[in-house]
Amino acid sequence: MARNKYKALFFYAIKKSARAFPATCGLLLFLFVCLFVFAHVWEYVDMSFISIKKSELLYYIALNEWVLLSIPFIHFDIHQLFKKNTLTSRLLLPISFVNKELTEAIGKAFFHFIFLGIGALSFAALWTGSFPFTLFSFSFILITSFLATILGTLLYMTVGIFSFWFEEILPIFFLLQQLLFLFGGLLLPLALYPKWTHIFFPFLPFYYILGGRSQLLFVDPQPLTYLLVIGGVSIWIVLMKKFNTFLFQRGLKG
Amino acid sequence: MNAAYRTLIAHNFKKNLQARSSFFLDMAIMCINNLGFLLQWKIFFLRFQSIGEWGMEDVATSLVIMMASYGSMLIFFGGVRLIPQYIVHGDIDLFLLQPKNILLKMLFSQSYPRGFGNLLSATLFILLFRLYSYPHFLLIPFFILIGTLLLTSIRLTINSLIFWIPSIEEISEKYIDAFFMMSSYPSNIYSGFIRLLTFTLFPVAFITFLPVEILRTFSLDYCLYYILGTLFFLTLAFTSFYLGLRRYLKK
Repeated sequence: MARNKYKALFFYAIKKSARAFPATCGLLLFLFVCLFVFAHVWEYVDMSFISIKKSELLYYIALNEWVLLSIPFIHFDIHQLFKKNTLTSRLLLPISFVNKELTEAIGKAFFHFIFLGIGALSFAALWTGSFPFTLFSFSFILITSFLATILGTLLYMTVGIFSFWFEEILPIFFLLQQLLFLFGGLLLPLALYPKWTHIFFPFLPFYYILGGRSQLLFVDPQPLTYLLVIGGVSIWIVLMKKFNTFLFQRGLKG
Repeated sequence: MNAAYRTLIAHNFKKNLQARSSFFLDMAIMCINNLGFLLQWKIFFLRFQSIGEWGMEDVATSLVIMMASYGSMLIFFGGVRLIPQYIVHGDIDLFLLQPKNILLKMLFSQSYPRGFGNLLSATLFILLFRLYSYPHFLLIPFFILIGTLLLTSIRLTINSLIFWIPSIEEISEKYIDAFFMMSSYPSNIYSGFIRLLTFTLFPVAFITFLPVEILRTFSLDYCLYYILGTLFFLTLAFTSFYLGLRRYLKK
């Protein structure tokens, strides 16, 4: 019964996103601008002393931006409920608030994920004239990227729940995004970061959302590496889900 | 400046300072955020010597101008971000009932504390990269002033389109995102047709590229483009807003 409820919510969110098609086109346009800017950055850098190819770097950025832009701005939706004083009416519904918001956000993310995935990979393939995946590695990328999108959604949700304590959540969101860019290696692959960062970055969620997953393009990955990434992102999803539920309950208690 | 506008700005400052803890928190978070961005570039330049002909100092200069301009826009002309809401929700009528000047009143109607965070981080960057030697200390404040006017004008032009196309709000938001995305990265990397776009459709060149190049080369050509471009975008913003307003009044 409960499962049917969430299934219905998930598909409803997909339908709603499909109806807001101009917004998705805007996202796609923004994705192209990002990829375009980054592609140019790498064109103007002397890369003779690193072992990574320019084409690989563009794919790296494409995989990062794909996930980053697929994550819906669930924190704004939650914050609006606080601003418009409509949270109480949501709490009266016979469904967990956190689960409901999360399911809807995942539905939205799924629609963006498909649409932007096609856009990001097509852009990279056309720009570089190559497609560096085998069937196996591509399936891995698909799975981990979607899991990364869910983890990102949970992180944004945490920011939204902070509305219990903060009047304005935008600065917190900017801060989170900056941490994500920095520790996730948005611009520069984590392999090019100083060596000491390689030890503790894999313990952070940001690693699994962006660079940790995308940088497998540069190495010759073993099945164990794949399992570690999938395991890491799954553990973080469970932890963040539990944390959000806890945080929301604390917020309600005031 | 008219006393009414001075009062409006003073009121905004007071409003920001009323929630003192939130004000300082917003400012601090914005500062940390900008320092994080700088750190990314620092790591980048540890690995690579330059992007095109720009080194770390040039990138820092462009970030300073961008951040401080954006910060000043949020502090002094924060209302420009709300213009689509004013138009869509009919709040513009309240402004129309007040004495002139409607545009200035709309621009001054909101001020965001995080703008101070941007100004503070720009100051920190100036100190960190010693961008206070001659001619930087003279030209950077000037570029920030022009950058503030340009950012406000560009946003005003885009937001004024809503007078003609009400459904453009989301696309205009994405345009602004793309604009800021392009201006956050060194704009010397574009050439040919794309460079032309950065002078026209996405005029990021006037915010970062030209100021940095003027500081680097003192080229008279660049100075001329800068002055003409600034005048053009200011005129475009005023024209599009008042034409849109006239259309709104006719309806």
